Amino acid sequence: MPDSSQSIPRRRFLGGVALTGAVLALPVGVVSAAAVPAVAAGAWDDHWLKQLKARHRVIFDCQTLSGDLVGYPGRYLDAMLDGYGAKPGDVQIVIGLSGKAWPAALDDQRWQKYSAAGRFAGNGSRPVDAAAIAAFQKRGATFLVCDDALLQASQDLAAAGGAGEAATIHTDLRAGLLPAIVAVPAMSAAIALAQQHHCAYIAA
Amino acid sequence: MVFDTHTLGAGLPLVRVAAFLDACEHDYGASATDVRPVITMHAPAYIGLNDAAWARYTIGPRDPATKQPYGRNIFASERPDDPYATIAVPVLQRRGAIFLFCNNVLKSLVSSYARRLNQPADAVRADLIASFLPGVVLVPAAVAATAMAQERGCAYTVIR
Repeated sequence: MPDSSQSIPRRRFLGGVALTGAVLALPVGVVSAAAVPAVAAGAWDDHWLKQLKARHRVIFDCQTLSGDLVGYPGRYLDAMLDGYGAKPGDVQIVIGLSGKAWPAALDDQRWQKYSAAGRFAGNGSRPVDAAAIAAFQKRGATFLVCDDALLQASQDLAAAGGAGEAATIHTDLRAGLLPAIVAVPAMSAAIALAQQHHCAYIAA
Repeated sequence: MVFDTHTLGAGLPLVRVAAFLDACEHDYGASATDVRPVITMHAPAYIGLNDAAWARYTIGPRDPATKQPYGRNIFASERPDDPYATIAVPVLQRRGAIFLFCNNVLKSLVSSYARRLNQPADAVRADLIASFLPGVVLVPAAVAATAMAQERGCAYTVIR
């Protein structure tokens, strides 16, 4: 959990995203950080939101690192196509990685670099590898990763020692995201926005 | 509201659905027809099976008093001495609740029971489907039904 005693406001996002009062009223995301890399307002990639146009749209809120990150949405997609007769273009899936699920977004290089110190997985092996993510992206899924989670992890890794400053680690984590994975400022806000764009919500 | 139900802990899904109905009807002034709970059952789907299936396949928790399987579906029992009598599946159905049985869970149960009882999977599947409590609906996947329910205006909650 973020340490609110050392927290700093960190809302500098969504410049291009229309917000309702409900989202603006969300608690300000806070991350304790001595040096948080600045991101200019409007710099966040929100193309994923604008592309939500299919008839059936779902956002999966994944907070645990396990094979179900793709297994569960996969069962949804199979059921829609095989059980309910939807066509591939009728279904859009967004998978939000936050909590303890964010390391799934990393490339192999960063996984190997940080997994031990970060204790990503019990035995060190990846429950969901890059190939599985890529395969699911080919089926139309969009993966989001929570930047608040990355910031928190950066601080934890810095505190663990041996990996450098938090800001450097955060930059490296962001640079090491798998292709087409989109960083969002806070998953809670992204989930709210997705629902405003008529996504169903599934706690995965 | 759709209840995305992954656990059965101490009858939690029944408790939550009953509480939802009570609050809407007694505290928020909704009429019975204003409220429609949909329960998408993942692992606990076996609460949608009848007593015969519970006995035949040794389904469900054990009676803490006897340490033996109940041999009947206590979550569907309205016997006054049973723990969920006032919020049992049929009680909630009469109050408008819809219970959906996940086909992925059914496949898993079929595989398990067929292997354990050395019976053909097709026969076990047919028997289980015939053993659904009245009104229980088989859906391709609980996760898809949960999303479809939201597409039709259901609010969402998860029970884990």
